[in-house]
Amino acid sequence: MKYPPFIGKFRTCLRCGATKIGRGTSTITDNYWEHTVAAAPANPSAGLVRVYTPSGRAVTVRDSAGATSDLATGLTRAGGNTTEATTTSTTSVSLIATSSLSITTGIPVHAMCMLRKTTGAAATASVGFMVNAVELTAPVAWTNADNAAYVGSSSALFQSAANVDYTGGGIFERGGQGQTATITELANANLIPVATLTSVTFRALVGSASITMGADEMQVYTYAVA
Amino acid sequence: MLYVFAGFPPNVSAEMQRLKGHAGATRGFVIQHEIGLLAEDKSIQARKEGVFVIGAQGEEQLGSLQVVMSPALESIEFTLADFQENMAFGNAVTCNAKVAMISQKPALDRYRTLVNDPIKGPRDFRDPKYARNIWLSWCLFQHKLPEFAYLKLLRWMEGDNAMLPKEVMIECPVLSEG
Repeated sequence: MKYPPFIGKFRTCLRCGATKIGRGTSTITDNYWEHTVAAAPANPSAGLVRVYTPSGRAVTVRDSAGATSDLATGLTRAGGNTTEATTTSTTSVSLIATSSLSITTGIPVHAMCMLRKTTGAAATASVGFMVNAVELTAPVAWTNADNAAYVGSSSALFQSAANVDYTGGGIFERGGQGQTATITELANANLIPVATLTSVTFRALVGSASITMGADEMQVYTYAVA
Repeated sequence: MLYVFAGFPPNVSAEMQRLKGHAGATRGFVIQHEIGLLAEDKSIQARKEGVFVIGAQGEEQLGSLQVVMSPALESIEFTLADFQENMAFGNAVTCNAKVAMISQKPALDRYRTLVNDPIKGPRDFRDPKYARNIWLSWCLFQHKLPEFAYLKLLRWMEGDNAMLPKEVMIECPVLSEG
């Protein structure tokens, strides 16, 4: 006796409503769809694509010609730091950092954080940027020198250096409320090291110890290169 | 003299925290209670490698950095050597700076239950993403603090239940009971 091809491969639980396909390796319920992490499948027929998970959190789509593209890792949150750090230091201090990173060479990186300055004196607050132990931009003012509270932000967009001949560039942006954001070369004080990046730090200083500068909501993202 | 503490001051009111931040509030506490003279000169910078004078013509090292770690940090054998290269402490007061240690401290998860640490919550401390991070506050003073002043500052920075220096606990058992 011949059975239809879905018998034994497609069943729905009458209690929870979950639908299992392919001997239970794929499940569809009302709030998730799960399937087994597995090696790439064979190419689908023309006009179709196959979505699969080759490893970890990667989700890949494969077309009939065998071309694949990674859906989940075009942009990856490498890390962050969402606890406020504050300082009254009048010389450069490593204020807010994201550490325990492992960003290999040749990867585009985007790091950002939110800033604030309190009242207390007619002086500026400054922000700089470093990777690992290398200060790429020494702190530069992001506020006016007046006795006022300011809010602002800073970000850095660069590529971790893959080659000793290409270690410059990058964008370093900072700005505060009511001011024009300023953009300068990131690898200004020093060049980007050709090394795996393990930490990214925003440095800071204030023009007078009577004011406080704070930094919070730091995020670090990396872009896919293939 | 650099004094390093675990976590951040727990008793700063929300209003003061918004107005001046933990660092500004701590500076106010130091001035109001005459704890000591903070190093606030715009040319003085403390780094892991030493104390530097920063000038228009460059920088010069004044000497090595003298550091006092709080008893809670001492309990996990945290030292200056655990900071990464080129770590800058600046001067004056800095609060709640996340610091990446060079290597993992086995006692860090136990220590996190004792101090005001932002990731005290349910984390897997075997995960290297958390195991090497520590939140610290520090103050750079122009001189060494007398013991009574240090104890007052310690309680401000780490709270009323701060771990006390061993010698104080021996000499004054009442203090050690918090």
